[in-house]
Amino acid sequence: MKDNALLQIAMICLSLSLLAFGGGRSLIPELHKEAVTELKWMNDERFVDLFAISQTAPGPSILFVSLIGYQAAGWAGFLIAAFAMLLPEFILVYAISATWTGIREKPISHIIAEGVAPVTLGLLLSGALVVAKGSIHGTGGAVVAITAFFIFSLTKINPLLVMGIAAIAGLMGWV
Amino acid sequence: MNGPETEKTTIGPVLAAPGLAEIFICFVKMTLVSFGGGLTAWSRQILVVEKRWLSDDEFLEVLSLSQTLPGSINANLAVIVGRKLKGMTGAVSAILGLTLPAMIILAVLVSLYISCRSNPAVDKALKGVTCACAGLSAATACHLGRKHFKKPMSLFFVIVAVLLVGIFRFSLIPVLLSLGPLSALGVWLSGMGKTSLEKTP
Repeated sequence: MKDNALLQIAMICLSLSLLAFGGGRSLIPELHKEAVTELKWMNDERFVDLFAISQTAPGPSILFVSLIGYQAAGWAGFLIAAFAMLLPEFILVYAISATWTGIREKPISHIIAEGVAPVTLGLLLSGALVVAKGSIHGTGGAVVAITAFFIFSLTKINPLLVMGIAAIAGLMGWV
Repeated sequence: MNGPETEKTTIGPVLAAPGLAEIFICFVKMTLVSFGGGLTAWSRQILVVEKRWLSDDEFLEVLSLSQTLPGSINANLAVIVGRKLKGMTGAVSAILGLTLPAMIILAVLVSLYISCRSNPAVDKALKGVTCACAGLSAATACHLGRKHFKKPMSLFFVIVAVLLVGIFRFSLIPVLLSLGPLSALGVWLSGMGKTSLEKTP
């Protein structure tokens, strides 16, 4: 069963690696669908907990997949998920950057960037929706999420500070 | 977010190629200073201003390629810069430098989470953090989307993608492979329209 999960997390990451346009966060809806809805490795609450943990760590946000891998298949899953997510991307980026220079001037890069951007935005908003559904269970939670949204949109405060204040709000039982 | 200052610099790249250890340590440092975000701003500060491995123009070129290709933008950037500096071994050093410290921190955090999750105080605090993360995710998307929300065609594709993926929970692969090319085609056609209009006397 565990070996099966290890293979599944590897396959999920390998297949999604080259589809993460606009950065790793655009994969959140699909990762949720696989890990929670299809394979039932965890419930909504665990998914958003792991997402929150990955957001407090530095480095590429795509390493969130390691935490999903850990939940699915332990420490082997933790390592395999990151490796499977980064390997195809590494090969593609290495090969293209070795052969393709002056990309900013090429119309094709403009068409790819501008064309995929709206779809990526839709995926990012869907990801926010998935996280909101898993985390907000009442008025208090909604107030925290909306306040955080405005703080992040209007100021340049370090997100960790806002998360710390939200943690205190949670401890007080307001969420 | 809380990135370094972004004054324009005209300093060119240094000529001597750095060693693998130096590349590795540079990317470790980049990850560690980016607690709470701003990794891209920090990578410019370190690669262009401090190390002078890239000029400002080269950095923008590398960044735009990192954003166009699929995958984590910062991981892509590490691969491209590492390759530029020292080929395959340079790219491997850079990606390891970027990801290893993050993986170690994630491993510590997830271990703490597993051992403390039954503690009601930890559970309550995390509930607050997850709600803030929902706000953060939405704010990130809206920030990136500012200019696209104003264009009717882009907005249309944003809404269709949210409906399909966020509401009806279709899989990413069919949605991306159908909407992506359609949206790119739209961009291409509207670009063609613009040039033909310009040519008309």
